[in-house]
Amino acid sequence: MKSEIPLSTEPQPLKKHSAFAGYFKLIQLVNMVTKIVAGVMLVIMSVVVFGSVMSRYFANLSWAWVEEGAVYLMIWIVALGASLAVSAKHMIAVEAVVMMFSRPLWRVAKTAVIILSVAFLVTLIIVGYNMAALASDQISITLPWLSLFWVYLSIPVGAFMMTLNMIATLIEIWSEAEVKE
Amino acid sequence: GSGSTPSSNSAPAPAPEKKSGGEQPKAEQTSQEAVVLKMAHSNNDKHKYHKGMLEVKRLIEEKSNGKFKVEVFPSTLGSDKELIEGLQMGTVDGAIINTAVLASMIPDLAVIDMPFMFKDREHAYRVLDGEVGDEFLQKINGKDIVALSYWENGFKGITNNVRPIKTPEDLKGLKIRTMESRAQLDAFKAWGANPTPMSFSEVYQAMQQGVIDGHFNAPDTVAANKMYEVQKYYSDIPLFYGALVFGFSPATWNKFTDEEKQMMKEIAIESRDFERKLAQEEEKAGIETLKANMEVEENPDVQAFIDTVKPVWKQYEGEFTPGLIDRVAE
Amino acid sequence: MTPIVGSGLLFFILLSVPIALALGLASAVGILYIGDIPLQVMAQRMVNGVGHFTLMALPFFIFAGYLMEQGGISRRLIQMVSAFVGHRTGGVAIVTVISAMLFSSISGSGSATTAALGSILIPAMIARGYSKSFAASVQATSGELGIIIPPSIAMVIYGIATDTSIGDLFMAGIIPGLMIGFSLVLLTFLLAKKKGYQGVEKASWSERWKALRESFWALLMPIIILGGIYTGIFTPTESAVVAVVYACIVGFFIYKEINWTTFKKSVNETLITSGMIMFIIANASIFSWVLTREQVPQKMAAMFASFSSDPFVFLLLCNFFLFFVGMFFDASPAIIVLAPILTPIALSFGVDPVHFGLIMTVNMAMGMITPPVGVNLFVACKIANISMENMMKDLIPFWLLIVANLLIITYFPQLSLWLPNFLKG
Ligand code: NA
Ligand code: NA
Repeated sequence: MKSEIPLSTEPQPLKKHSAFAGYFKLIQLVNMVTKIVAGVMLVIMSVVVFGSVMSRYFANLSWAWVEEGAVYLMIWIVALGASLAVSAKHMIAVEAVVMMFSRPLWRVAKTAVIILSVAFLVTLIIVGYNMAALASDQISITLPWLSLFWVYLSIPVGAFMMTLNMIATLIEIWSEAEVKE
Repeated sequence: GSGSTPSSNSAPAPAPEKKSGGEQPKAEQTSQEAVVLKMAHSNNDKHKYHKGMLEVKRLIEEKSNGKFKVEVFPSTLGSDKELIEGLQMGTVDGAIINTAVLASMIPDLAVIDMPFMFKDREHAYRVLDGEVGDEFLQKINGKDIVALSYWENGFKGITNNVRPIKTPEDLKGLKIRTMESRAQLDAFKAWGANPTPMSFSEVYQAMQQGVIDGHFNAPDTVAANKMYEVQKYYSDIPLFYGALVFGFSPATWNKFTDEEKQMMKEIAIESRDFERKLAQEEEKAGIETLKANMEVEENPDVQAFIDTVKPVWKQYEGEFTPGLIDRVAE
Repeated sequence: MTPIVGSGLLFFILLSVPIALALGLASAVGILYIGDIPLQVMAQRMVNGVGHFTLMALPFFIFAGYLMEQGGISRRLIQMVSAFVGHRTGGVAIVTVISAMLFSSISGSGSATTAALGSILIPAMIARGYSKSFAASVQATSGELGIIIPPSIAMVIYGIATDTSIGDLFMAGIIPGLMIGFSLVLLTFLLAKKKGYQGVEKASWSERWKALRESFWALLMPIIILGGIYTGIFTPTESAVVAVVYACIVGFFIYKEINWTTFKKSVNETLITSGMIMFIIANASIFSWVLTREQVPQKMAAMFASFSSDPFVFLLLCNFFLFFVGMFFDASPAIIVLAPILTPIALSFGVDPVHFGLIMTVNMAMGMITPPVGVNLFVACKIANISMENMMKDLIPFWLLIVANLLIITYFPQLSLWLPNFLKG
């Protein structure tokens, strides 16, 4: 299991493998954009919530949209942050059992893990999009220009980016093996 | 819809040999053919909604001679918003849903939650059980929810910690919690208060610590949540009326036979009357509890509140179908 | 359905599927097995499981934690404590415990507390001739106060999962937290005396005054956070964002140790850590929805009730169960999954939900130092550069002390409940 608060969270540079170099470049770009977008969202969320505390206390002024708006930002931050966590290999997992496996068996187990994970994430992309379509009828109460479609869209988008990063991990596991053999 | 309905192996139910199904209220061991209906609301299991849903359970199980077994879920299956989606998807078979939340799909429904939209219960029942209410139900049906009847939360008065509220002037400068609703916010602004949107889970402590001065709610809810422990004054002003829609998931509904549909419609009305009566009783009991624990203002200047808030009606007129406010207000 | 979902979850977890995805996969298996539910509900549950305003405390406290580390707040706290008690027998070790108590009052996480203080204090202890395993044990154990002394991420999660007042939970954590902290000081002192660990050179009063002055802004932080909550300026949820802004201001403008680069690093680490934890919450909310819909909690409650109706026995069983869970699970995921199931059962036994929250929290804090999987052990071992096996001998007395504290907290509810009830008047 990885620590809840990682000591160093700089994502390890993805192993370069000639055949997949382009793929890794793409992923790095995607993760970079994700980081910026989610980072800006985090800062906006902090400023908005802090601002609403201050304005309520000092100016006796409140806005109806702060809670709903901040929550929607948070949902997106979670979806994007989770995919960054996958890319930084910071998903909590119980490694105790597979650590006892031999190297080849370990690789098979890890491959199974990634296949299962990707199966789940691809399902999420599909059902997540369906859910977003279903929710497109609902309008945010306090932000009447916002259809909940855009909130639910975080799930398929986040799942898609997690899938990309999972596949990168799979390639790494096997390219490491090729180098050794 | 990939067949999302009550479980069971959808055998065409050749009249189960079980005699009178009414004998097993703790329906753990009903016949295997019993079709399970999962029905939900968004409050706790002590609330009038739960008691109303238990009445639905009793009626359905009794009238269907045990063909249906109803499981009632309090808030554990989700909030109103989630129950809407649950009915649409077919993950929940039946539910009651606050009209204020349904308004996110059907803007006209927000008229019910406008301040002082209803003078009294008779007025509310007349509108909701009449032509306007029927039109709303039709609109809800158009959004993949089989809507059948209106239940009620009742009229919401106002609690606070600063002074008794008799006129809008008394609200001046008070921080009052509202839901995430623009109309509520604007109404309290019109009365001179400082409306503060906040999620319900934070309200008790926020009133205790003074983050807010007060909030509004039905008296039985105030009593049930022991809010009198942290609030000094209650004013019995019918600021807002709360209504709910009782309905089924279309996936479930379409599996009912015509007789069953008719039966469910009757049950929707019977349970509505049951719950409304219960709501009135609990409101009375709630007021009594509040009187014993805090200062209750029973004769506020309601007309002054109505007069100050009328401009808000004007402000929102454009968001509804033309003429709707007038039809509701009469 | 329950055995299939349960064994599915266990299988996925042991195969090292990330816990979040294991929860999602097991739920998907359950949904497919039930057969009449569209899988769409998974996306719905994820969005609604995360979409609570109160949950916002979590990313904010994590953010604040990183900013405090980058901004030099933790270092100044340590210097101040060291100036006052560092000269005593076992000085640096005692400084470690007391700093952890202080740091816990501004940090919501156990492993963050261990990491932020350990990176400074473990090397300091080793340099003073303390054994690596003793140094790591003191730090790992005192780090768990991070989730017991408020604010606490674990309590925020418990409060949301069970609809319990987070403010009450925070208050309930103070006395048990102080009790654990001071009993740790005492044990550390006795062990250091036995081992002959000396204190550092005694600081002069002018040095003490200087350290106190320098740590002023750090010491002001818990006062602002807890004071702000209890004077009604902001709610417990909002206090987390106040901590973020405060740590930012102190780090940028007063200590001037945060710059654009370290700020970006804090943002990035916050995204990763909160994304990871809250993605577990999202998936756990599918899981608990499936179990709820199939009425598993009711069935479990009936099972417990048939076993015994004595709350004393029930709580003992709970402690055993949570101990096993804590061996393998981190605090947050364990609470996310178990609190909605166990708390209604505890209520039916007449246990106060706030008290039960404390029992779960302390249990999960103990899990942080219980092998084979304990975050605080991992963090401390990594800093001290020893293997976990090698620190066991020194860890055992500390671990036993926590067990003793846990039992006292379990069977004397007033330790937890007195303060919140007193504050309610
Ligand atoms: Na803490
Ligand atoms: Na553990």
